[in-house]
Amino acid sequence: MDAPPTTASRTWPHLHLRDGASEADLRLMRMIRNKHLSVCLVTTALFLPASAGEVLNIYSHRHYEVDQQVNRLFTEKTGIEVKVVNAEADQLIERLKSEGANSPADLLVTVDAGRMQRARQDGLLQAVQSKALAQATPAALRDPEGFWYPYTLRARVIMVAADRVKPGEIKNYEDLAKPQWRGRLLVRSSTNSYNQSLMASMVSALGEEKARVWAKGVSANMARPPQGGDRDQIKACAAGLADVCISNTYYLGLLLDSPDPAERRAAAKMRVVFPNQDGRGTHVNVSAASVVKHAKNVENARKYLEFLVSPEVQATLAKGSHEHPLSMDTSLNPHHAKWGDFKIDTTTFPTMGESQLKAQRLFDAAGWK
Amino acid sequence: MPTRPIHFLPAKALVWLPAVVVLLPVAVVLLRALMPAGEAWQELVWPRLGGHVWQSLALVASVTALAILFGLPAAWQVSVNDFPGRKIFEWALLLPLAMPGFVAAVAYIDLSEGLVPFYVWVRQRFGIDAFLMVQKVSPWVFAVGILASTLFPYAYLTCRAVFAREAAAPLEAARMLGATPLRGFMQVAMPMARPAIAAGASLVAMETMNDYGVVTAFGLTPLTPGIFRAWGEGHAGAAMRLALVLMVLVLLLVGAERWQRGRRRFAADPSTQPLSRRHCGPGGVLLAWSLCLLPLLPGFLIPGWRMGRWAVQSFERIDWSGNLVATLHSVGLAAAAALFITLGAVVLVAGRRAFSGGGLLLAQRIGLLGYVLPSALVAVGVAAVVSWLAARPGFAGVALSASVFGLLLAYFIRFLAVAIQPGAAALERVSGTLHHAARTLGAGPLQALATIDLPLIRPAIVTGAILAFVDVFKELTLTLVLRPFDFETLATRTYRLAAESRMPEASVPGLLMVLVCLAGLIPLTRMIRIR
Repeated sequence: MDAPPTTASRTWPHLHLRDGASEADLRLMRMIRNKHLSVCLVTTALFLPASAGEVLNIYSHRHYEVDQQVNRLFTEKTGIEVKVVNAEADQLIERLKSEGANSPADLLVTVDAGRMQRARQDGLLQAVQSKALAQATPAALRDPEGFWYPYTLRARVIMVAADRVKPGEIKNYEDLAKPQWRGRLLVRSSTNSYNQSLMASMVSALGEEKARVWAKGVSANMARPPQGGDRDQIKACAAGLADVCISNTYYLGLLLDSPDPAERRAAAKMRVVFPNQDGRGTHVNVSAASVVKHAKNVENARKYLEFLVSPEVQATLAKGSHEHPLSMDTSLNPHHAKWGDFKIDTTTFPTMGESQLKAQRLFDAAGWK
Repeated sequence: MPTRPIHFLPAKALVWLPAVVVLLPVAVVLLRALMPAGEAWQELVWPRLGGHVWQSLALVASVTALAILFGLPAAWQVSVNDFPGRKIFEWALLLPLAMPGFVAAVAYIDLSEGLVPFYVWVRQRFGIDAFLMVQKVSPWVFAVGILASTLFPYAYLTCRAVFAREAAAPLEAARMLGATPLRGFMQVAMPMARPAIAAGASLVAMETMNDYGVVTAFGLTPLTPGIFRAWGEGHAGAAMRLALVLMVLVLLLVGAERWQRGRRRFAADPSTQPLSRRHCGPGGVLLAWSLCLLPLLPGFLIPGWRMGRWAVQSFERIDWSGNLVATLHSVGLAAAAALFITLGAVVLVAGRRAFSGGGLLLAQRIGLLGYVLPSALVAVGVAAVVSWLAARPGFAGVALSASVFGLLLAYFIRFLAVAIQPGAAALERVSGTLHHAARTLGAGPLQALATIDLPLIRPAIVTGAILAFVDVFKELTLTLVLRPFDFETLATRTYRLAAESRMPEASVPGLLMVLVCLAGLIPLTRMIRIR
């Protein structure tokens, strides 16, 4: 081995120093030293915790603007301050596990029923009984014993370029694997939880082997390797890169109401196809909330849950995030009205969590990146 | 030689501390990787391994090659030719260093949408198979282009140092003997620059291996995202095995670079006179401009321009409070990390002078090791260490999700070398006799360091601190994985907004990062000014 300075200057040649320091160097140094001090002060101030009153601590996977609006409204009505920690559901669940009884969390919010089913199995949640919740939430889409409740519905559908795909040309998820769509299909990566839930429903409906063959067919039809989110698939489809794509409906709603005219034009070219209407129905996932096992503010959490399913908040969410409300009332959002009513697949819903565990493996085997 | 009284041994142990910290994640990963990784490795991760490795190798090879093609000719032009704008290009070619790849990617993800008419034309003209082939290749073209055009300054810097200094005298001689510029380039400059090219290339390769933002933006899955994917799926043991594979690849790379260098040394001889530059004709000016602009356009000007335009267009909708909080987080983290890193580096460098033992040289070398440790390995190693620590009674506060402790630890390990290097180099030039004279006159080792050695190398320490600050400031990979919940830096904010296809909003934090990094480049541009 060489002596360290040589080693270093070889590997980090851009770090060569000039001999000695000039006046300017020293000035720069002084400036930086003073800045360091102020920066440290700012940092300290930033990491200090805020003060607390009557509160509700939420661990949430959702981070839409409309959620903040809903939380503000809740605070106005109840005086309960809402504090939200945002992260992906898996991370939040891991954190709940590691924090155990010390967890500050009162409420867990995810956008996937499967995650909720697994969190319940891991003993992280507690059951809540409430008339309001039982009345407002469809029995098929909630935990049978009240461990978690849905509050928005998210349909994963087929979208087609209206000028290139005739009505009725594609009707079911199963059709996406047919060779006629080779090079004409766009869908995001299999690492995404929406796709894993869709795959889970395929596994529950068709069985593992058929689901794998389906995924392989879909993968073979892709117009490009998976890249970007649902919105990108819609936009690329509208631009002509492909003719059909898989997306959640609310992304189309968001694009239709985008401040960017190009996005609005693109979204207008697409038509929504609710799949499997003659069979088991369209795959729907939910935004769901649950009181955490070791919650300190259980009563506040229950109030918040009931608030979420109230007609007022349901209407706010339907308008703000374009997700479907629990009542499936399509009059709350003009886009929903245009897309129309549809049948929800409730048969595969209860086994979503279980089947999700198989989904990733089957995706890998099918070559869906 | 001053004697070393026995009561300094604890102090000597303290000097080892930064080195031990650097070794921590490697030790953890080695231990865990050798343990059985279970079903997940066999069934999920092992089948993916070939693809990950293949993609990593293909990516590194193509990015490195393109970065050399960008950096070498540009360095040659600004070193040996005189043309209008040369002085501007001399420092402007460093600008892409202030444009992290994932920030530049913001401008290109969107641009790839603009190519749809071209893809449609390919389908109509050449059929579906050609279309699918183009679709497979185009993310690679974008990722490689973005990485190469933002990383080429490493190759530019190393080559430039050789052309302007070491190769100056032989080149002058070649000129006087009647060699054409091309012949001088091929037969004198290139052979002399080979070790420098290899050094620059290895830096580019290392950065490419560590990239997460650019490759994921274009849907590629080399090892680094592969490791985080396995980690995210809850397969820690499998992730650590993948990290070990990545480490082996990096070591092979470092080995290859050393082998290429052979016995040659790449160190500028400061006594050499710089090269006198040749005036160019109009053709030469055109050539020089094209070669300098070729990498500068995609690596800085185009992304900067596009993001600037977005920022202006969406000015009224900018979420200033969100950006401000992210800026404060970024600055706070980078400042705190730079402080710890500088302290660690000073302890290692100064400790070696005070307790001149052979063992401490090893400690310093270990400190330098962090720079070749892959980010993904540091991330999973630190995560394991911190979650072990957080499970101890009374240490719950350090948990990854709740504090920046893990993040600072990871930054320390990864970027300690950045501060050690200038400090060590500067101290090498300060004669040890000064220190020993002070000790003979009765000063203790710490007093001698504080009054003699440290003030003499202060500019180097400050430079090290600035470089560490900038490196941490623009870091994405570690930050994304190890940050606490709800904690956004400018880097993670840019990445998240871009991932959500909210390009105009992503452009503002991206530009803020570029501005701070530009300020960090100032000491660098001062360093490269040869005359």
